[in-house]
Amino acid sequence: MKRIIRMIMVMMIVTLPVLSASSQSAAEIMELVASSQKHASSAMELRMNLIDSRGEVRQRTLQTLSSSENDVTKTITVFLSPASVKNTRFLTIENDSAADEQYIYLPSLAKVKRIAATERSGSFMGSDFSYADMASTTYDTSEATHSIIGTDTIEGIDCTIIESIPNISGDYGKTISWVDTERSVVVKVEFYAKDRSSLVKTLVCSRFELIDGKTVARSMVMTVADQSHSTAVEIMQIKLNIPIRNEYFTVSFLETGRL
Amino acid sequence: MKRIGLITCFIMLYAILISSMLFAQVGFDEIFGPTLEENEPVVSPVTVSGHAGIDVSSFIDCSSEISSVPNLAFELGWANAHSDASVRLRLRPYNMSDPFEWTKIIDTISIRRFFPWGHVEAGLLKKEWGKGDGIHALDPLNTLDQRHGIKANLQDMKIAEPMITVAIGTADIRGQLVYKPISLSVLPAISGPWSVIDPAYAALIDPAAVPKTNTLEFGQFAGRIDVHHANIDVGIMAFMGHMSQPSFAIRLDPSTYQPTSIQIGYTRAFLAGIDAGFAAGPFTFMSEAGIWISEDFNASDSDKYNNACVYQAGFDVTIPSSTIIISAQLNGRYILDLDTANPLDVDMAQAYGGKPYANTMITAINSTWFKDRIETRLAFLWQIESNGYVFMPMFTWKLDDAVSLQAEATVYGSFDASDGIESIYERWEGNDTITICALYAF
Repeated sequence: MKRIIRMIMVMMIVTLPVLSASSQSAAEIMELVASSQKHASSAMELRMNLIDSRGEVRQRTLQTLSSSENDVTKTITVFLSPASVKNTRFLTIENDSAADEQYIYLPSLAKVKRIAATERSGSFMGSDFSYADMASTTYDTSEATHSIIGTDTIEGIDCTIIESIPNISGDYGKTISWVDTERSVVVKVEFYAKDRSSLVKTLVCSRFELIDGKTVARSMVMTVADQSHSTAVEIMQIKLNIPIRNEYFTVSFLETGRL
Repeated sequence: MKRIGLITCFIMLYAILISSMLFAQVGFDEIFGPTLEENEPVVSPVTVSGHAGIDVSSFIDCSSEISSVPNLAFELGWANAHSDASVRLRLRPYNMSDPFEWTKIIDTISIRRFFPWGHVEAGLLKKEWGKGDGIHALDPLNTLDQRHGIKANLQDMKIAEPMITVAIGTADIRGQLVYKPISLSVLPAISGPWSVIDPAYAALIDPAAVPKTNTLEFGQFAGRIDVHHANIDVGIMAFMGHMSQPSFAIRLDPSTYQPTSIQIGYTRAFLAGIDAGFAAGPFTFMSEAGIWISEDFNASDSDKYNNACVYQAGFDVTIPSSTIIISAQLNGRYILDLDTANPLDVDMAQAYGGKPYANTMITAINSTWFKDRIETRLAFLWQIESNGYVFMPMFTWKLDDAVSLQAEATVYGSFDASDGIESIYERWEGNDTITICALYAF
């Protein structure tokens, strides 16, 4: 779950320094994008629409809290709808120097269960987002080779196009990102298969707004390459760098839903 | 049981009535405000959820009658700043002529009061202890209703029981104390297609002679401590009560050696155990181990169960780049000081082939397809010593987020029928069932 927050932040949050693309290398641009996501805490309410080829929509809503301290990032998520997953809760504890911990609470079983946290390619809530997607747009200079391959304008936003080839090929062999370098925000990302030529899916961000001094895109759409399915994520509420009680990030809260 | 249910209902309703500020809490209300949009209703002061549907089921036998029964679940919840209450009602009769029982209607009733140090919960509750995945060696708080065979989700077979729990703890260490004023035993069928004993012996049981366990004399206490550290969870538990499995003691005519009656009894015992779970890569490993200390500590009373060790080990693994989750668990017990020379010892009824140990392997493959629209499950339970097995495939098609169609089957049998009936699953061989249900979730 932390990864989806990171992904959202990567694509939406902008640091204030204004830098032109011409004065930056690809690595510097991506480093700025990555660093812009760092913050002490966040709280978001998301609406996720899963849209199939016939236009049929399935909707999920969730709230998530995240807090980072001393290289440990804790995230808790509660699903609000649909009824079949309502009150399902996830707790993820990501430690830079240790393996991730992940717990799930299923209301039907009324029990907290530890689950493996390493599966990155699985679909998140049946959506077109996977955990690997979250990581692929946040390659830093040590994880991938970045290069500027052109410029483009999307919806009136001037973008620098950056190709990122990961040093260790995961689920994707390449990503191409359209970065608004003025605000260090990702506007569009194409994800390619390991052969580096087959487009797998495309992410488009929009509705950029300034919130708490940072620019946030309140809408994202991930579309698979054959257009057969897409997922639209809308941020209904967002708060950054607010105090969040540590008790939220505990197994006790996961189990009871109460502080 | 009926009286206790009524009393609990009354207490719960009273608690609700005296709560002046009622509102539902879902999510992080302390942080987020309501997300109200045009045409969106105001948040209700109570939460209501559940499902409505119909089950159509039959034995897998063309001559069997097909039964159609309602499948209703309804949960009502209330909450204020320091307490909450919920009622889960469940109506899923096996056939419409079943007699009315509270245990078939009230799934759980819970009233909780939260304090800075933890919370207190009371009601008719179901609790699951142990690190195992659905099945456990150290889960003594609820008994199972075995009168209609085996369900893939053993929690569905649990009977809610009156209990009070106190939970305390910090982020990494939690403690729980439980008091159960009465005891319920496992509910086995002693006649009909799901009988666990030979029909010839069923008539020897005098129902009037079965001990009543709904007295304070059968009160039970339990406690556990859970510690979470990095990738490891460890729990230590203790339970003082009765073994939930009743014993069947056969009385013989001293002259003819023919059975004259069967006495059902309960063995008071103490269970202590430890469970642990940890994650490594795509694997989640789980283990439980404990020992039952019987009132028949010296194994001198053939009507009481002996001391026994119980254990379980298993793992879950997610197949990389897929939605397939495979789990495998071995659950077993070892009866101490088993008197194999005395076939009338109640422990011998659970000693397949006279062996003091009994092991059951449970494997399952769960997967979802087409963006979670299709869900499949293949579960297989194999009682190793008796060679009895249960196969439980299930297929669910979610037409949308609210409507789903489900088909599931349960197939009983034995890999080795030559040695006569030893396994309960072989006894149920003619009870293979298939159920198709349509559900609407709300």
